[in-house]
Amino acid sequence: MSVTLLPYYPSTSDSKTNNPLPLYSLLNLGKRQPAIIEAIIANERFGAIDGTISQRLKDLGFLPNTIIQIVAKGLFGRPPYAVQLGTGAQFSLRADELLKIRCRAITIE
Amino acid sequence: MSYSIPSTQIAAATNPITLALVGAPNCGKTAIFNVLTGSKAKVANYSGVTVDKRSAALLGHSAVNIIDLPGTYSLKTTSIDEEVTRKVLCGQMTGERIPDGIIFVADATNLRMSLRILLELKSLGLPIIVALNLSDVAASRGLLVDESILSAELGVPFVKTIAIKRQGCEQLLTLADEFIAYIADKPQAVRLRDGDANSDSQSNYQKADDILSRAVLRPQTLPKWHERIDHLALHPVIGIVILLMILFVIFQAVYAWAAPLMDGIEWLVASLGTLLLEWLPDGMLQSLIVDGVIAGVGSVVVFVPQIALLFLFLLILEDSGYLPRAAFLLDNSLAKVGLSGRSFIPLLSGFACTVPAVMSTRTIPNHKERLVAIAVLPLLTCSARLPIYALIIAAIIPNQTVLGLFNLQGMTLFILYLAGIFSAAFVSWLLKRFHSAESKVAAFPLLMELPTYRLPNIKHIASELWDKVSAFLISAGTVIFALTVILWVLVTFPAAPVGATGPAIDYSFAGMLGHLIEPIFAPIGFTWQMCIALIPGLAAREVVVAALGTVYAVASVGDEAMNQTLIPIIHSEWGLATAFSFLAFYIYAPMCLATLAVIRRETKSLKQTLAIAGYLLVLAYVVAWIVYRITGQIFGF
Repeated sequence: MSVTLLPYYPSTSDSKTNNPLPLYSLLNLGKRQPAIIEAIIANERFGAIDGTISQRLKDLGFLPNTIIQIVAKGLFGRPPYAVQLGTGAQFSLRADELLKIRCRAITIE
Repeated sequence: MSYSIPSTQIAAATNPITLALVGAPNCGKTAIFNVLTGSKAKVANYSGVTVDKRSAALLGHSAVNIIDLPGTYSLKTTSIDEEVTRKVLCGQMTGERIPDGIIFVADATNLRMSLRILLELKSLGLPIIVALNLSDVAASRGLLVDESILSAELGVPFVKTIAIKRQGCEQLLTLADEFIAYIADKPQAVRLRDGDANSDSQSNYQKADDILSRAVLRPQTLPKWHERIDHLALHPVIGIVILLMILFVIFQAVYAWAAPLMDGIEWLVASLGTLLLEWLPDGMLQSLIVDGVIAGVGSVVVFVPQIALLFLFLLILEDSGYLPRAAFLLDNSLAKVGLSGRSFIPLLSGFACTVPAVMSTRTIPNHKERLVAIAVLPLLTCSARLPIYALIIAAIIPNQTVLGLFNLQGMTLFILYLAGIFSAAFVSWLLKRFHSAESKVAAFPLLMELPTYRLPNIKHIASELWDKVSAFLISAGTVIFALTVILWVLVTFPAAPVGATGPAIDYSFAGMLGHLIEPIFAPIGFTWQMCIALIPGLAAREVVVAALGTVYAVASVGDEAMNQTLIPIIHSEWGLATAFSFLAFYIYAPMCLATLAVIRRETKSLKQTLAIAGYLLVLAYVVAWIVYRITGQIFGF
């Protein structure tokens, strides 16, 4: 867990996964699947405060190029998820917040 | 900062100095505050908001005031509490002057985020010193950081602190001394920027990473056991089982372990009463002191063991980092009724006693959610209702087994508990509907941090526990004391006329009031005796049982004996419909003055307290009426 920032984006055409679309919303990411944050996007469910929430996510360390993984899901894989950043910090996020985080699955050797 | 300062402002340097204590949630800021001030926080209010203002003088410097600002992750604030921090730091808070300096509490186990906040704070232009807290925990995880590099890179002094260890504290106090000397020497700080505008979290994180790459000689790694514990504690099934076991222990403690202590306090109060009965001459003064003051104060003090034990466990769970995990596990179920996982512990505590439960809602960060939790808490069956339920059930429900398995009396009790739970869920759901009708958008999300596990800090827990207990004794105690004295007057005056045959209470103001409100309660089947008993029952719910004993002129020797004589009276004098209506009324009735006093204290709003009491009273009356009509139709009135 010493890697915090990658200097480059991992290749989009990752030959090791069979998934043709390795770009996920964090809501759809598998448990314990390492991923890298691509962007924080808008979620219209939050209306006027969406920008504040994006800002807070960034302040907490949910920034592009950060490694992220889901360490726990609820019963039957439902949100909220416990999410761990590359720095080791863990947060509990509900579905609406998870939808705001776009990420790309990666493999760590 | 080469500004020419008018000489009048240099003279102002001898004025009292205010230092703001700033830090992220979970960084151990309160423990540092206690170290700096010797745990003597004065709690006041910021003007216009219901956020506690904790402040105290720095140890050895009576002219230096330290304010413990609400924890925040950023100056781009998202809640009322965080907004208080920003406003105070920017000098925009009414009634608060700009602090002369900042003591920033950095979390060594989360250096990256701490540095980002620090960079943001630096843009305010105030002098800063940094307490690098939890350095022992971080060091045990392998972190090797050179604080002199951090100091040099950031241009602010750093000191490693371990809030439990004397050594770490002395260094901080020494640094604080130097800081004050520096501030006092320096002319009034000149505000340079507003701070807010230019700091962008991405670039601040990059700066933080850059500094850390030089200052951190070895990064910390979370131990393997940490991951394993989380694997179990956050598991949707195993995690719940673990949580239930923890809760079982807490409940065992609050119900069973507190009982001997509570008995002890009751015995002490009773003994003191008997002692004073002998000492004081018969008459009004004796009655006021023994029946009013001693009994009133005793009814408050008796809660202390339960409150202390409950908060002891809550503080251990909070300080060890487990509480947010419990909240995570239960977030989904509570979200359905518009609450979040954070409300769970307060709601659960409500089954023991509503008073500490309302106090424990402070762990809920969202103000709206906290208010909803406080509003529904009195619906959960607290232990003081048990004596009432037990008495009435024993009087009217036959002690027989149905379906070969269930005891009818036990089932009735279970249904009463369920009725409370479902009513609480329904009211909270209704409030959520009511609120979401106002605005279509989702509320600000919890974004709850799951901090790393750490050993609870005993010193910190002890001082927090003392804070809670003394706050209860002082605030709730004074109100309850005043109210019990008023109740004593109502029950005692005027005295029964010579040669009166009925019980003395019948001739008192309480008796008159009872008769006065009888027509109001007649539609739900209450007799005048019950109405009178309701009045002393305001002090505490279980007092209703004793009051019924007084009204029915039962010469009581002890609780047990009184119950045995009351049961046949209730059995013969109350119809089934009346008894059920009384039970239903007590599921909802808000009348325990201690609860109302503590709600008033926690909401800091008389309007909200009255609204909560009002809706509970209306609910109690309406449900009791429905129950009375239905049981009356089936079994006769």
